Formats: sequence, structure tokens, C-alpha cells
Amino acid sequence: MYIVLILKYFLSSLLILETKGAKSMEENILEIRNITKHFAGVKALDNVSFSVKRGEVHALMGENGAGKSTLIKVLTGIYKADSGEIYFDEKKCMFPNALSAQHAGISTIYQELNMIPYLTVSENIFLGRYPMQRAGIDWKSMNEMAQKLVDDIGVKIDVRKPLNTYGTAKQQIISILRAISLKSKLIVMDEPTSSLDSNEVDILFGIIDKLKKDKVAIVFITHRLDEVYRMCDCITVLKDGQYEGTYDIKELSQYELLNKMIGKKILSMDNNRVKRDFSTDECVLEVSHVTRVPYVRDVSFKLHRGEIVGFAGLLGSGRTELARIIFGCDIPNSGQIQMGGKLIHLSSPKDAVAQGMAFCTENRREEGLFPDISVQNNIAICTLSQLCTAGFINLKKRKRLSNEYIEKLGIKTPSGEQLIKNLSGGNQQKVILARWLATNPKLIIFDEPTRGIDVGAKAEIEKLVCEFSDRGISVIFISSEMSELVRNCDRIIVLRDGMIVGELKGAEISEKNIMWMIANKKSIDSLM
Amino acid sequence: MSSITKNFRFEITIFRKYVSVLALLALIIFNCLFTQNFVSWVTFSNLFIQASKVVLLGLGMTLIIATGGIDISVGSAMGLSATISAIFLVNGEPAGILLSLIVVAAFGVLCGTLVSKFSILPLIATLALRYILRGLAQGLSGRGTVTYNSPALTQFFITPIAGHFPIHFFILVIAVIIMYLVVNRMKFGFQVEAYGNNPIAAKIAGINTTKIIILCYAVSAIFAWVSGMLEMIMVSSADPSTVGLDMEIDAIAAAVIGGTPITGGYPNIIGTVCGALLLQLITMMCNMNNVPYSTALMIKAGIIVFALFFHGFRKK
Repeated sequence: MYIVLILKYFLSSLLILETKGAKSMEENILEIRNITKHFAGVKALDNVSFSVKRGEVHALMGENGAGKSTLIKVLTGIYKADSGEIYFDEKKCMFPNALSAQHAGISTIYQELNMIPYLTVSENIFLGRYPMQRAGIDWKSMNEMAQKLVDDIGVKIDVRKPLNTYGTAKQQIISILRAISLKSKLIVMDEPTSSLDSNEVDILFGIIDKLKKDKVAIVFITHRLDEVYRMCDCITVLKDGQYEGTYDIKELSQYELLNKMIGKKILSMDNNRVKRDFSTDECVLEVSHVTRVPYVRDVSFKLHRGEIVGFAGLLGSGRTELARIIFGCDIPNSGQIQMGGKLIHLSSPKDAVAQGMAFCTENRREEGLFPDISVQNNIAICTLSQLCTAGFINLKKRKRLSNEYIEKLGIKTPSGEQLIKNLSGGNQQKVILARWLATNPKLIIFDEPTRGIDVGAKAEIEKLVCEFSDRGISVIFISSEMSELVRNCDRIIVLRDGMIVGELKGAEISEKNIMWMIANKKSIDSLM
Repeated sequence: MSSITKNFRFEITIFRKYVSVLALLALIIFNCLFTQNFVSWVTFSNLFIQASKVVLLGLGMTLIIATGGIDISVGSAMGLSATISAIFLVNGEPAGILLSLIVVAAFGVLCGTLVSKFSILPLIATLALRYILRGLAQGLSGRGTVTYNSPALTQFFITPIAGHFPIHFFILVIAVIIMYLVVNRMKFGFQVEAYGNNPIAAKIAGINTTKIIILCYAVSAIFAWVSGMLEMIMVSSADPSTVGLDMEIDAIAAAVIGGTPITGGYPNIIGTVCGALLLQLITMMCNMNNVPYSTALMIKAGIIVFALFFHGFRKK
């Protein structure tokens, strides 16, 4: 008797659970449960779960390497998850490839457009599903349908023209139209605004509003906080491949969001540089009103002799782009750069090197190393002219130079003849440092100098950077790790969306203040 | 343990660097043992005279391949330089030989500019030049083969020096020494290797990459001129449609066998020289043993595949 009662109770509770589950499923177009994905032993995604409701704009936030793209690729069938489940539209599904995800109703709009530039707009919209009639493709009705889609959102596009007659913004919109015409229930947008100007962003957001009314769910990936707060209903934050949480947009301030994305990354290091005010020292570099659309807008700052200035900001804030302009890799649309009080014109990096600049790039492998060349030649490559006697390279001088720096910077290598690709990341970075130090520079730009190297080497490189400053070399230090900036910089310039939003000096320098500035665009005075 | 593997790897790299030298030595020893009449001055001078053009073209090709490029116009450049020089010699103006050098070098500079400044793929840029130069040569000659009469010049070239050494031998030795020093001991060579390794990093390291590329193509054109001259002098005439025809293919093969990575990297001068000599030696060996030419071609193909296997065809 009792047993029957218990069973009955148990069954009914199960039923309740079932209906509850079904209800939440009905609301949620997408549920991702406990997804884990490894790449060569590294956990790119660690037990990530989140869900998206119908007709919701859901922001997916996180710094570089947080796992956003991996998650999207798992969702759309490009990668296969190691474990975990995906429920889409009330069905459990693991898409074997991108096409089947598209058939099920998930469209993805990538940062780099995946369309065919030489085909017409309407062909691109209906690619792979051209309307047919007896004599082949029904061009007329295809163009009419495409034109209707375009007119519906009120953009001026002639669908008969080839796609590449339109700029990136319009192409972006066209790829969204394709998603709409596919009757997608969920559209994933991976940084759709990164190459748009503000008018174009408005148009895009108009379209998103419309989609929202049609109960289409949108997963929105961006690094621009403004857009998140303007458009999105809730935010899911990923950090280092882990799920941080999902928050209602109204309950999470920009500051808290930043804290969740990049906070708590503090390493215990004993290096505490005594910060000094350099504003009365000799001015080495003066950048005035430099603009390069759309990455850098009207940036002006000064750099003094021996000063370490940090560039803080999120990814896409224009940090690296600004450094590339200063070093002559990219040419600005307008603005001036002065060095030592003289106006300089940089048409390529060699001009910058001639001016006494050095640049440790963000991507060591792609832009710094000569992998199949020995350590000593990697060190000597910028100073070959000084090593020449009568036109020939003096091999003894080269060896002396490389040994000097191998010893000075503590580069761990069996010999100078070793190929640099056989060294560890930290030692490779030191070799690049040695290369630039040998040129006796006045200014060194470090872009993420400690990325991908272990803690010990990190501390050594930070120490070296401070030593350069003591020797009178000015340093521009770019890092995503706020704690690193706070430890090493005399002054921090905070960038957001390509503009300088503030500057921190001396005692004002703290992770909290940097985050406040990025979040609020306010000057430090109004903060305190 | 790891140091052992590292040393082992280090030795393998050295072995790879000189694999063509070893292959050449092996083939020479093989011939000394099994080919009748192989050990003689005639064989020696024939080898150098016949291989000289490919060696010279190969030196320039090595530089270009080291930058990650390729130059399929050198055969046509040979044809043009021979034709221009022969026309001037017919008219009794030997100074015109210098003019042909200037013209061909200018086309090399043009080619380098197209590749570096206008980012045209080397294969396409040199393909265009291959047609242009051949067309120019044929147009200038107008009536086919240009034959001149200058016995003194021919006599000077076919007279062996010190009784046994053909003049080609000395030209080759000088060219190889110069190129070896340029590559291994001069700024230019170091920068070429760096560019071939990583063009973006080379640019950021402040290397004038445009200049480097233009120079490489110009040097290659100059070597094409030298081998064009050699070919013209040997026969006292220049046929604009056959001088240097398909010669670039042999030069590329020599560089590849020599171990210069086709994706860019260290220009292995000694390797290229040995590669070119190896190819020529195979032809001679087959001739001397009455093996048909078609078989020689297949042996050459085998050597190229073998070389690529040893050098490891790495994807970048």
C-alpha cells in the first residue's frame, strides 16, 4: 500500500518535472548543456552551459581565448564537442556539419564574410536554393524575392548587381538577409559591427529589432560594450573556457561586466616599480590627432624619455592598431607623429627603425620570428650594417654580439647556432628583445610581450622592461592583463573604440580605475 | 635525453644541407668504378662545359626560390641577350654585348618591381616576362637564327687554360665563390634568408624588402645573360626561338635538389651547384653507357623526388 503511494508520488513528481522541463524548453530556442571541448590537451571549453530564449538578443562576451568562437563552432557543427548536449528547438541535436545546422534553422554571420563577391546580391541570398522553373533557374522571381527582402528593411541595394559593388556594411546586411530568407530561428552574429561605422550600425540594429519582433533569437558577439547595452537583453560571460554566468542586462553594470570578463587575473609578482612623473622630462614621441578609420580616431598623446606608458583597453579598442601606425606598418588617414620635436613621415617600418623605434609584435610567430634561422642571426638581423667590415659580415663580431645578449638577457639556448624554433616561447621573446636592443632604440613598443609564456619568463621580461626605462629608453606597453599594466607602467592611456577615454597617473593607477574608465568613458576627476 | 634528440636533429639538418653533395660524390664514385673511360680530362671538361649554363641560372634561381618566389623567365632572358649580342656582333659592334646586359638586367628589375611593389605572384609575373622576352628576341632577329663571324672570340673560349681546364670552369668557380660569399657573408644574403623565412617579420624588422626582391630578380637576370653569352659564343650564332628554351626548368630542378626550400629560406648555393652537376652527370653517364635519353630523364625525375623526400616538403 505504502509502496504504491510512494510510487504514485514519485511518478507524479516526475511528471511535474517533465512538464516543467517542457515549458522551459518551449521558451528556450537553444539550450547548451555541459559542453566540453579539448584541443591537443588544452581545454578550450570546460563544462559550458547556457540557453537562449526565443526572440531574445543574447550577448556572448569574453576576452580573446575565452572560448566564444569555439562555442559557436561547436554549436554550428564545425567542431565536434567532446561531451555535452545541445537542444535546439526542443530537439536534442549535434550537427555533423554547418549545412545541417543551417537546415535546422541556425545561421551564422561571420566576421569575415563567407559569400561570393562576384555573384549578384540575389544569387548570394539564394545561393544553393535558386528557385527553378522548367527552363532552369527562375531569375525573375529570384530577383523579385530578393528585392522584396531588401525593400522590407529599407536599405538601398540593387539585387542584380554583383556583391562586391557594395561595401562591407552592405555585404554584412546582405548576409543577414540570407539568414532571414532561410527562415532561421537563431542567428549567430560574430562581431558583425567590427567594420561598420555608426550609421551602418544603426541600420544593422534596426534589422535586429525587426528580427526580434518576429521571435528570431540572436546570439551577438562583440567587444563593444555600448552596443551590448544598446541592443542585448542578457549577457553570458565566458572566461578562460569556463562559464562565468548569465545576467540580465539591467542587473549588470558595465563595470561589473568588465570585472567578470577580465578581473581577478592577478598574478603574485614581487616586482613593484616605483612610479614617477615624467611630464617634465624630454619628450621623445608626440602623436597628434592621428586617425585611421575605423580603428583609431583622433588620438593624441606624448611620451617622455624613459617613461613606460601602458595602453589599456579591450580587444578591438585600437591598441594594436595605434602601435602599428606609430611604427609605420599602417598609414594613418590624418594626424602627425613627431619624434624628438621633429615631424617624421613613416611609409614603412624601416623608416621607424631608422628613427630609433623598435616593435615587439603581438604575434611572435607570425610577425617576429625567423623560425629556421639560428638564434645568433635572429639577434643580428637588424644590426647587420654595424657588423660589417669592408662589406662582409664579421662573424666574430656577430658571435660576440649574440653571446653578449644571450648572457645579458639570460636566453636559455645550447648555443647561438641553435635554430630559434627549438626554443621555448619565453626565450624566443627574449631573442626578439635582444634583436631590438642591439639597435640601441629610443623607443620600444611591446604588444602583449608576455602572451603565451610561462610565469617565470613573464616576470623576467617585465623586469627587463623596467630596466630599459632606467636606461632612458621609452616604452609603450600594451597588454590585456591589467595587473601587468598596473605593475609596470608610469602612466596608462585608456582606449575604447579607437579613442582615448582617459589617462591614469601615479597613485591613480589601479585595475579598478582602468575598468571604470573603459566602462564609463568618464575622466578620473569625476570618478574620485 | 632531450639533448640527445636535439643533437640528433641538429645532425639531420646538417645532413639535409649537404645531401646533394653526398649524392654527387656517390654518383662520381659509381661512375669511376663502372663507367668505362669515365676518369679523363675530356669527361671533366665536358661536364663543366655542359653544366655551366644550368649552374649559372641555378645560382640566380636559388636566390629567388629562397625568397619564396620562382623565375620562369630566365630561359627567355638567355635567348634575348644572345640575340641582341649576336645582332651587334654581325654589325661589328662588340660593345653591344654590354647593351644586352643592361636590357636584360632592366627586365629583371621590372620583374622584381612587379613582384614586390605590385604584389603580382612571381609565377605570373615571370610567365608574362617569359613570353615578352622570347617575343622580343624573335622580333629583333626578324629572320630567325643570327650568325656572326668572330673566330677570335670563339677561339678564346674553346682554348683550355693550363692545358686542361675549360674557361667555363673558371667562370663557374668565380660565380659560385661570389654567390657563396654574398649569401653566407653579406648583409644581402642574410636578409634574403630572413625574408624567405618570414616576409612579415622581415618587414617589421626594418628590412627594405622591396629592394631585396628587386635585387634578387636583377641578379637572376644577370646570370641569365652570362649563360646566354656562353651559349652564343659556343656556336657563333643565336637562334632566338631555341636559345635557353626550357632551361629554367633545369635550374629550378637544380635548386630544389640542392635543398633550397621552395617555400623560402636558406639559399643553398653549394647544394644548387651540386644539383646542377648531378643532373648533367646523369645525362653523361647514360650517354657513355648507351642508355637511351628517355631513361636518363626518368632517373632525373627519381632524383628530384628523392631530394624532396630528404629535404622534407614542409607546409608553412
